[in-house]
Amino acid sequence: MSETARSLPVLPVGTPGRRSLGWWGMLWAIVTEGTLFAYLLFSYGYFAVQLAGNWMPRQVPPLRLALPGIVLLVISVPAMWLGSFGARRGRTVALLIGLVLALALGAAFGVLQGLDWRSEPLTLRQGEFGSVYYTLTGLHLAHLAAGLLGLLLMLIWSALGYFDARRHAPVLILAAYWYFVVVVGVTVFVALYVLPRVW
Amino acid sequence: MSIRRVAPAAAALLTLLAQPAAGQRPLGYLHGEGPKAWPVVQLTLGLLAIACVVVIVTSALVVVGIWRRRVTDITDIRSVPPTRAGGGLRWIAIGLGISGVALLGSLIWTVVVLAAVNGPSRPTRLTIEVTGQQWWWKARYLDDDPSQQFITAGEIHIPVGEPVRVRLIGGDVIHSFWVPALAGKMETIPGQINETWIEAGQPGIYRGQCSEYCGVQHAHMGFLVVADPAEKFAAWRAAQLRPAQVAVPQQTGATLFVYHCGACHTVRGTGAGGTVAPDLTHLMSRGILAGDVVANTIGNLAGWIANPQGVKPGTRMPAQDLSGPELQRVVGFLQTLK
Amino acid sequence: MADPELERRPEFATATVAYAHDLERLWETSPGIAGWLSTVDHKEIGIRYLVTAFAFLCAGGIEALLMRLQLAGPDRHVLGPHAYDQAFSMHGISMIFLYAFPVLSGFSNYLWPLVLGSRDMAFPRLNALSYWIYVAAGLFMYAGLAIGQAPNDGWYNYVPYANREYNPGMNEDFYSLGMIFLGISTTVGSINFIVTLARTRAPGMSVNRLPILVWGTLTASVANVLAVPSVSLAFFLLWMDRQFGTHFFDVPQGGQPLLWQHLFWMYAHPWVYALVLPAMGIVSDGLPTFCRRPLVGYAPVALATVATMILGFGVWVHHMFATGIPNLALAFFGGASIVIAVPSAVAVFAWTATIWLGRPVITTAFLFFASMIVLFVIGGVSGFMTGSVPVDWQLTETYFVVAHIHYVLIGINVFPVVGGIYYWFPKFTGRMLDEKLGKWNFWTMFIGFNVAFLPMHLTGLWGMPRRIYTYSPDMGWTTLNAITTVGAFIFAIGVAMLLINVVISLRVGRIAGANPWDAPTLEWSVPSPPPPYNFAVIPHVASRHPLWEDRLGESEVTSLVTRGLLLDHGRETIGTSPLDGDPDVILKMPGDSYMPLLLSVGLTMGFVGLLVHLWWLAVAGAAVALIAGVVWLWPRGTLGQRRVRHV
Repeated sequence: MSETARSLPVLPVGTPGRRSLGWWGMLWAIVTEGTLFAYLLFSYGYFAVQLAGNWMPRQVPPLRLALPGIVLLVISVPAMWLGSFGARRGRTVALLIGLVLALALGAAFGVLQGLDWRSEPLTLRQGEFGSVYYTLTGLHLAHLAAGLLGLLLMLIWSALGYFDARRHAPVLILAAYWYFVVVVGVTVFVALYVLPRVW
Repeated sequence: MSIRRVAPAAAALLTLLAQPAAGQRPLGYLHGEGPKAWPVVQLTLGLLAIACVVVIVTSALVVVGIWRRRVTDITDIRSVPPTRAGGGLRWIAIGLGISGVALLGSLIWTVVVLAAVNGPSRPTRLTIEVTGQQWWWKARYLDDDPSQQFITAGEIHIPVGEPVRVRLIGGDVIHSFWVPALAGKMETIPGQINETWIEAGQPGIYRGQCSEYCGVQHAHMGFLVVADPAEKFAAWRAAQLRPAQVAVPQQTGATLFVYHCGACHTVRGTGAGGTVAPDLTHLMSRGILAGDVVANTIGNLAGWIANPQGVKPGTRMPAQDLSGPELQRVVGFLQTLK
Repeated sequence: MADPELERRPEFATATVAYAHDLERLWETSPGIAGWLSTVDHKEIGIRYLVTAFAFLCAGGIEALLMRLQLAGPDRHVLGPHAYDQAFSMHGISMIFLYAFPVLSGFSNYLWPLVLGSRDMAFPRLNALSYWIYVAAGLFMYAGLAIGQAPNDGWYNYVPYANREYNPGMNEDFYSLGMIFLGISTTVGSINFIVTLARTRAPGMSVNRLPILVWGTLTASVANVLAVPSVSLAFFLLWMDRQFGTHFFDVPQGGQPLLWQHLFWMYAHPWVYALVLPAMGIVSDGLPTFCRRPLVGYAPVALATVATMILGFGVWVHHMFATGIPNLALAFFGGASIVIAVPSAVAVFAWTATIWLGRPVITTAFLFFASMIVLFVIGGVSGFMTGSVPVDWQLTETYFVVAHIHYVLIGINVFPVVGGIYYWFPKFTGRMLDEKLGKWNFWTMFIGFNVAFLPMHLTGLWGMPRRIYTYSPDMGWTTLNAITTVGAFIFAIGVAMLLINVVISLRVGRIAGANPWDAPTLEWSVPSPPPPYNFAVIPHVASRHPLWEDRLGESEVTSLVTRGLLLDHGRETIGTSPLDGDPDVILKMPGDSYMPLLLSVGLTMGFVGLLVHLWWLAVAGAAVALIAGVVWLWPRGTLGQRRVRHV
């Protein structure tokens, strides 16, 4: 055994990509945040079952702003992927373009969601659906805001030249989080905008 | 120490605990007084016996195990070298086997009892709608004929030997309907209607109690279930249906009552028609006051009206601005509500 | 040529004095208040967790004694109903949330890196953050008590009584926000444990060599990650209802009181297992040392730990048997609640066999561990009875259940914890606790506890409901309650003896040496107390009992504790693969930092702002937290996160 120990290979030092502790930490943070949304969706389903037909508002939330919003959010996935690809290859230009695009698309989604809130006839206190609607979209917006902040930080750090082909763990970690935000966004969209129409 | 010798001894001990002085422990549930309670009491005692045997056997194993090869000189633990004597996995296998049999048996017994108490064996003729409120119980006797319905509070009469359906309403917060001698608990939850059933095997007064924490006076949310023979129950029911008769000497008391108390309390036959507090039309037919805080005597009644917060701190009943003579008149009036 | 900043082959050798001196300089926390506020040393944080948890235990204990004085006889007036309701609520909150779990986090924080052969937890700064938030959240909830507005709806806080309509004070706001706040601490702490286990173990520390304590804490941590969001959400929805008029639990508008119960118990049932599994791990690891043989059935016990938790996620409805759920569903959940006894039985028989097949050395720690088996069985069989649906309809919400949870929480948590303190105190401090006082300590606690809580089963069977502030003499509970009160005070004296023993032994206790119990695991291979860097060389693990290998004489290979990997280019430890424990990275560990404290201060400001509706304070708190977070995460050359520009 001491032989194997002595013949250790050359080991990477520090925070190399997916071997970094931060990446593992983010993975579990995503698990716990994902569970949070799962419980909220469970509550949504619970109301739907218990209150049966009479809990939907007369007018289900309109798609006019929500649909373009969710499309933009989904498009931010390839943008983010471009960014993390650039980071892994050490191509700063691709990294910067990817980050800027993701930031812009995510922000656009946030703005559209905000406008949607303003034009929405529903209110927070208007029955169960109103309460669930604003809580679910609100929690998602909070996660989106955290993601946008993270993207901004990545942009600053990229601009300062902190990342290269061997040191870029933060970008990968943030990308994992960003994909999570998008998946939650799509799930929320399906739950609040699509399902009420299907029922 | 064989299980065969321990088990009957434990069971005998438990039966002893359960049997005597049931009357001295009005909320005890090791004795049942009806067909819904009996199978559960047996199951409870049975599981308790299994539990006691398990505790005695494992405790004995641990104590003997420590005793037989103990080392009490702890000054040099190194003098007892570590070894890996015996596998020991057999212990786990045998232990699991025995526990498995006991658990499976308990599970089957549980399911059998659950099925047995699931519903009454005969169709029910009486349904009572019971509402839990902070901190008292309202009972509405349902009938297809609305003129045969009436409301009372704190004391639920049922015919003996007959299953009675109980519909449970949550009036404000969650409470739990519990008459230990007759049946286990069922919560009264606002926004939904739960159902349970009770049946008393013999006449008697059975104590009930709210058993889900519901606020500051959760401790004083008792009620009584009075099981009467059929004819006595019918008579009681007929009496409850009658409105109050206000005799001339009580006219002032009745007026004061309607003015001060009528917004919350109902006394059928007078102007008092409030629904947020107990219906007092037949107050004097009841044995308890204020959710079983005190017995229904004239002194307690006067004290309760004069100073509700002193008798039951936090109660929803406000003190009324009544002078001494006024209080006397109100109590005098209430005394006539037989 | 490879850049040594990015990759290198670690040296393999024996530590020299000069090397150890360098490590000391690299890892030590600066002295004084500055170091105290900024340290990220897992040992320091672990001790703080233990001390703080015991402080909350004492607070909860005082609340309990007040309640016992009130209930010592019928119609007493020690506490009025309002005070009593706050006392039992704070008692539950203190013991369940502020003592029982954090105390185990204390042990695990201190011990994990030492038993796993690492120099720190995966996220040392997150560890500090977790601790600071725990303290802040605990004080936040106790602030309610200080102004007479403590939570007053019991620890499971059913709605609608917790709604504003019925509970207009700030009581429930303290509880709602406090629990969301505390949830952050629990979550980051749990993630830290999971990643520590996955990534920072000594080479050779494969999953089949982990101490059972590690299995217990790991299982609890995974459960927390999946369960805590449920209760945080429930309290968040309640707070929204109370402050912004949403209708989640507001019945007239269609709110669902049972949704609260589902969300709460989906969290709280696994949580109860999180309170006992690591403590069972303490017994599984401590008992063999004093029985002078390895644990019987390592693999079944480890599997039982995990199985308990998996089943534990499927039995939450057994807290809701009396809510009108259909009987078929009840039969299923009742069955699952009975089946969950199986993995517990595995542990009980494994411990008993370990005692029978070993040579028990009767130390105080051993007595606490061994007595726990008996208490565990009592708490287990009463739990098994509550799993039987028709029986539970009678047992639930009576003192039978109160007796049950105390056998679970005191029997399976407090007894192992106190045993664990007797066991590891020498490692923590370098001195032994006094054994003679220890024996007195044990017997006082054991007798007091059983006098208090064994008769309480009968109190329950005789019908005494929970959470009543008084009872009348004709209920037949007077004698039993008097006995329980006497027992409670004896138990309290026992706990005081522990504190006295700790205070005395810290000064005059016998010097322990590295391994006073001749114990088998890695933490005993380092000096007592361990140096700030834990291991001078990263050990190599070849079996479950690295320090017994020579005498058990069965390991073909031997663990290495004196020769190993030298890592001294800054704060470094080794990262290993999740299953087999093969080294795959040299990890750079962060130094001391004020940011965890600052972030906690920001969050505290935020929560206080939300509590008292000072929105500017909430925003300012969020800003402080944000700045602390950005500084915290700023890429550092010393952590290998960016190139250090050499001038």
